Amino acid sequence: MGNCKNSLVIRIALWVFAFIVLAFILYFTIMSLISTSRKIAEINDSYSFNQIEKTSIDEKFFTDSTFVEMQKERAFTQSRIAMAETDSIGLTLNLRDSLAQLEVNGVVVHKTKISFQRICKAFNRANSYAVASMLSKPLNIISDTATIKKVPLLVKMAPKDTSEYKPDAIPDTSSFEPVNYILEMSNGIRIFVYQQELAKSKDVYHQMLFDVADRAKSTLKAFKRMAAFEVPEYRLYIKIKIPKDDAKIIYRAIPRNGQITVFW
Amino acid sequence: MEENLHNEGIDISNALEGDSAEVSMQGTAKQTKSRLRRLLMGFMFFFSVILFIPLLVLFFLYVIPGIQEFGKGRNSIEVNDVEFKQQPNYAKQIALLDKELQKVTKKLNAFTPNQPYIVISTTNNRFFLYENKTLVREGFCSSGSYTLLLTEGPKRWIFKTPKGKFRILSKMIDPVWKKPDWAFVEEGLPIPSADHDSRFEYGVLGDYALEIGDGYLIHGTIYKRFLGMPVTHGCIRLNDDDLKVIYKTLDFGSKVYIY
Repeated sequence: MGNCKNSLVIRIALWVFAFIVLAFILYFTIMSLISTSRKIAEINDSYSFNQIEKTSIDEKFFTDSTFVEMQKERAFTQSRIAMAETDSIGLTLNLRDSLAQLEVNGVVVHKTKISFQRICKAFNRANSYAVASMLSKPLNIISDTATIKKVPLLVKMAPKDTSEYKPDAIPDTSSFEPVNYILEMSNGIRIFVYQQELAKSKDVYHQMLFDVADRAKSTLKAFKRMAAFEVPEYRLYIKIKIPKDDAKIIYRAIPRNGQITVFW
Repeated sequence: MEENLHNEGIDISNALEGDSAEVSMQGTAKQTKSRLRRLLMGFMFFFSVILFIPLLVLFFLYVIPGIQEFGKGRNSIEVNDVEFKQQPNYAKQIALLDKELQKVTKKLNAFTPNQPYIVISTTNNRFFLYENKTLVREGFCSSGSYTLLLTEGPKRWIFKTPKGKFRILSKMIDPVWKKPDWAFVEEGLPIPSADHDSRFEYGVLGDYALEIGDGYLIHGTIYKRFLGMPVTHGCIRLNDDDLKVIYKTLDFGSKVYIY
């Protein structure tokens, strides 16, 4: 009799648990979907054409693909000029031609082919003109996460006298270093740069680990917001894959608070 | 007769004993079956929990972001109204935009100098010399080692090549290296006075040197085997042939881009 009662309690508890889990999954899914549409609406509201100039003729212009394409190109060029005027090293991502290039004062100093690119759907689902406006100014990097050091500093203590002095050895450049990083922009866009070479299992493992760690961080952030009954933040992203050496060059060249221009 | 009955009795009791043994065997089998069932259920519960957790994690990490990306690809706002395109105002606006586009493109292109310039990569230690906006020479160089030299006192130096845009400020033939303080500290030697003879070293900078500011030079080297590696104290080292070409190509004010 007692056993029967216990088993019933366990069953009920299991059902309640399953229900809670399912309800949470459903709540999380709905909130995540809401976050995407909110972000799209936010882009459209913040960057769409000015309501003052919204005459019937203007509105048609802003929905014309030829006009929008030209606007995008002009915005990209203007953005590169703005970046060049800072005299700093900047990164240009030309997703149209699959090119990533480093520029110093408007001069292209390094160029590489993007072998893989993915932009979040919100970019495509928002108004093209609004997205072009959003990307018409250089994006400012506010933080980064990487698998390599930004400055590969080597600390050395000065010898007390000549007997302690040892001439510098040839630097070891053979060590294994996976190159994957995320650049976070001031307007919330995240740029993921992954090395394209995945010939070694070590590379695959490190890239997967890096990706999972970032996803886990984002999910935890979303959990925290949902616990406070807030809609989680949808973060726009651009993911690219470029050769490892180029990825390293770009990461080490751009300043911590550098700028990026995107042509999409 | 009595004996027979007795024998029968024995038979009956034997039969009864056999039945009860069968019953008890059936009971044990049932018990074993039920135990096995419970064990199996336990295993299944355990494995489903074990599987459920990673599946749940995968769901939150991969499925939810996937669902967020689910939906219509292209923005439907963009249209191509043929009638609208035929309006004279349309052509005028497009022409205006095209003109603006050409203007900004020209402005951007003006940033690239027509004069010769050099680009130096400190990450892969290579240089690229341009003349008339065309690459004319490339090769290996050595740049800063990113060594932080600490002393017991407050003095410290970091040996890195500065990045950005620079200009050739001066050009020297047969340059003499005036050793700075760190060159002595690094070797454990006492720091001599500013113009002490031990500060001057001849022939170590190669045949030419080009100054780019703040004491940084583009010069030659006696350590040619280190070209292509980050080993310097911040200067750019080149081999003799490359240095000669660069010295002859670049002029005062020529731009140097280091990244």
